[in-house]
Order: sequence, then structure tokens, then C-alpha cells
Amino acid sequence: MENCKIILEDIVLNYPSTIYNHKTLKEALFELMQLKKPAQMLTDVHALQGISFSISEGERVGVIGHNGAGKSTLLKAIAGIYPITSGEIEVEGHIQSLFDLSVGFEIDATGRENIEYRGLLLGETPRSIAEKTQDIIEFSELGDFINYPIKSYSSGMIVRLAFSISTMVAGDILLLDEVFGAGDARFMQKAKTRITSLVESAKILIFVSHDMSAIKEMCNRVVWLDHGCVKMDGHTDDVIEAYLDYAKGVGEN
Amino acid sequence: MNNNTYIRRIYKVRFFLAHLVRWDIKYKFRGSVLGLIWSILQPLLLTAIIASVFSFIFNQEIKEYAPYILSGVLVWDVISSAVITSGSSFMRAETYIRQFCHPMIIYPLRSSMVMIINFLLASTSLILWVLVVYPENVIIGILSLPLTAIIYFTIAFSISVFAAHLNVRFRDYPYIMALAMQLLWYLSPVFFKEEMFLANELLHATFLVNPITHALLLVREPFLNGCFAGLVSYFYIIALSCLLFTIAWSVNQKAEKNVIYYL
Repeated sequence: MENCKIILEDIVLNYPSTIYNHKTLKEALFELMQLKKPAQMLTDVHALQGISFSISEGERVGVIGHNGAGKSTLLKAIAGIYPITSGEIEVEGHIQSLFDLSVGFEIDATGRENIEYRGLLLGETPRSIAEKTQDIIEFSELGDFINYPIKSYSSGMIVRLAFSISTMVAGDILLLDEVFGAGDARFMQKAKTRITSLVESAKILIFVSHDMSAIKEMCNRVVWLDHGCVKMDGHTDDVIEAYLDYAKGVGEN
Repeated sequence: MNNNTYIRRIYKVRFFLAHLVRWDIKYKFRGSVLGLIWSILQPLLLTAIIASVFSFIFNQEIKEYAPYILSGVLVWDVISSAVITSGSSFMRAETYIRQFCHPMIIYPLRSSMVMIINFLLASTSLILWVLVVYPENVIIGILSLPLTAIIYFTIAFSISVFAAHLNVRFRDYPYIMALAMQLLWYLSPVFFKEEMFLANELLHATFLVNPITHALLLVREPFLNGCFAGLVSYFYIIALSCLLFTIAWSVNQKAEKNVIYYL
């Protein structure tokens, strides 16, 4: 197979304002009859404004920036979930993304059934899931609860199961969006080890986080996003230092 | 994106799609004692009620009128759920759409596959009824069913694609369509017989060009009259389903990438 790579060329992504300016039939009629002042129109949200960089095999890229800088949007654009307004994204390699782990479970189905469903959602085949099921059950430490419907689980148990399933499937390109915080402290430690091995087996990692120590641990390159633009792109320590200095400066003012 | 790549992407998620369909069928009757038997029993009992009322009011012969209504109920169920229920295809799949970029068409595909499977299950009730009143028609009825199911599926799928895209953009959709379907119901021979449309020439003309009239004939001619539907009906319905399919496919290609912004 070809080398894995990601090339972003002048990516612009606007969330179209038509959606926020959505009217119900009633509002439209009332405005037409002048019973109500027309609602103020919102403008497009410019989430990403001309982002260009490329990532080649072996790079582990952390993405940092303040809330709303476009980090998660960038990740979802690379994953193909959000369509870009203009520019070009070229991706070579199979993408595996870990975003909101615990959504999308069938709460009436048992943990075991959900392992199958999740696996299929992630692109596995029934056979490959059957091979992994036992490992997933063991890693999640759910024991007999695996045969109970998910609705009987505590939230920690759901997170553990979600984490165990989602991290069982490997990909060439791994997209992580703040996946830590899985279960109690002991499970967290285990989860970290699992993530590390997942990261090691991936050929490219893109990791969005506010946790600078996690970024330092896992990444060899950092991209700092600010208001939808790349503010800095370089070696992990340099970018994090600059970012923290900047954040401190903003805090003091 | 070209069609081949798109079809390949659908093929790649076939197991996930199959799971969604299985899930919908299995969990429709979740927790009920009779389970899947309800999908046969329900149209049967509904027909018993409607047929008794109609035969009382309109003096219809119940023996021949009941299977007429039953076939109407089965087919109307497919059409109305394609128009109304499928509208929520994308909304129901929101958690999947937000996390994975699977081809969007699998969600209306899921809705229409469920409809056709339900239709085939419910057809058992028609077969049972016909077995009692017109046993000589059962063979030809069953023979006609596979082609009919394929045609219905194509139509249901195309309508589901339109419904899903419209509903996600205009949330008034189900309310407006429920009314529109009510109107269409009165213009279609779901329960009414052709005689009842003769009162007015315009009404009768509408009856003759209404695709639902012909779609119903695909089921009624074999099961009730022991012959295949006329070539005109087959030709009309097949041509219509091909046309709808082509439009639905290209609409989806253009519209699918923006669906996420409306969720």
C-alpha cells in the first residue's frame, strides 16, 4: 500500500447561516402578515479559514487552541463528516476516528449485542467481531453485566464498554478528540496504555486536546489553531511554550 | 463522487445496514407476547373491522370485499410509510451521521427495506385469507409477489430518499404530508371500488391516471381475480419507479453532504 498521508490545501469551512436562520412556517407567515418583526439574520460561521498543511507517515500531530478555534471541526472535516466550503483534502489511508465514544448505543440491547452493533458501525465484519468479542469483554471488566441491557449500566460502565469497543479496531490514521476521562482512576491508567499502543500502531495520529501533558507525551508536532487559522505549526515543545505564553498574556490583560 | 465509488462505499457498510434493518424489525414488536405474529395479525384484524363496517354501510359482499380491503391496507401501508415515516430517516440516524461518514443513502435505504420486509410478512395475511375465499388464486398470487415486491421496493426507496431530504430541511414536512396523504387516500381505490369513482368524470379520470390504482392492481389482479395485472399497469408502474429512482439517486448525490448541517 502507498504511504499514508494527509494533505490539506486552503481549507475553508463555513457553517451555513441558513440553518440558524431557519424559520418555521408560522414565523414565515407572521412576518409576511407583519404581525412580527423579521428575525435578525445571522451570518455564516467561518469555522476554518484557509488552513493548509500536510502530514506524512510517522507524524503524531497535536492540535491545540482556545475553545471555538476550529479544532474539532478540522478533525471532522478530515474524517469527511463536515463538507468543506472550498479547498482540498487529500487522504491516503484508512481513517479510524474516536470522537464521542458513548453515543449511539442501543440501550435496550445487551452489552454483548452492542459490541456487535458498534463493531459493524466501525466497519468490521460479523466474523472479525466474533474474534474480538472476548477481548473486549475482558478489557471492559463488565463481567456478567455484558449479558444485561445497556440501560441497566452505570455511566462509568457505558464509557468503559464504549472505550473497549472503539479502541479494538485499528486504523492507519487515528483521529482522537479528547477521549480521556474513561471511568475511574484505575481504568484511566489502563485506557492510557491502550491508547498509547493504538497510537503506536497507527501510521498517523491527529490528537485534539486541552491537556498539554498528554500532547507532550504523544505528539512530535503541534498545530496551534486560532480563530480558524493556523497560528503556529512546529515542534511540540516550541508550540506549546508559545501557546502557554500567549494564553498567560491574554489572562493578564 | 462517481456512482461506482458510491456503490462500493454502500457495499462496505452492508453489515451495518443489515444490522439496522434487523434491529427495526425485531424491535418493532419488542416486549409484546405475540411478537412478529402481530405483523400478520394486525392487518387481518383491521380488515375484519373495516370490512364489517363497509359491508354494513355500502352493502358490499363481505367475502369478496374483505380481501379487497386487506390488499389495499397492505399496499397503502408501504406508500404512506415511505412518504411519512421515512421522513425521519436522517434524524433517527443523527448519532451515526455525526460520527461516521457512511454514505447517507443507507438511512432511507434502511427505512425502505424495513417497509418491504413488513409488506412481505403482512402479505401472509392476504395469502391466508385468499386461501379460504379464492383457493384457486393462491399460486398465481404467490408467483406474482416477487416482482411486485421489487417494484414496490424501488418506489418506496425513491420516495424515502425524497422524504428524508425534505424532512431534515423542513420540519413541517410530516404534518403537511399527513394531510396530503389523506387527500390521496380519498382519490385512490384503497378501500373504494372503481364503481364509486364513476359519479364524476374528472374523478374517474384521476382514478385512471393515479399510479396507486395501478400499483394496487399488481397485487389485486393475481390474488383476487387469478390473473396477472395488465401490461399497461406493469409498464406504467415500472417506468414510474425507474424515473423516481433516477431522480432520487441524483438528488441524494447533490444533497447528502449538507445533511449534517440540518441535524
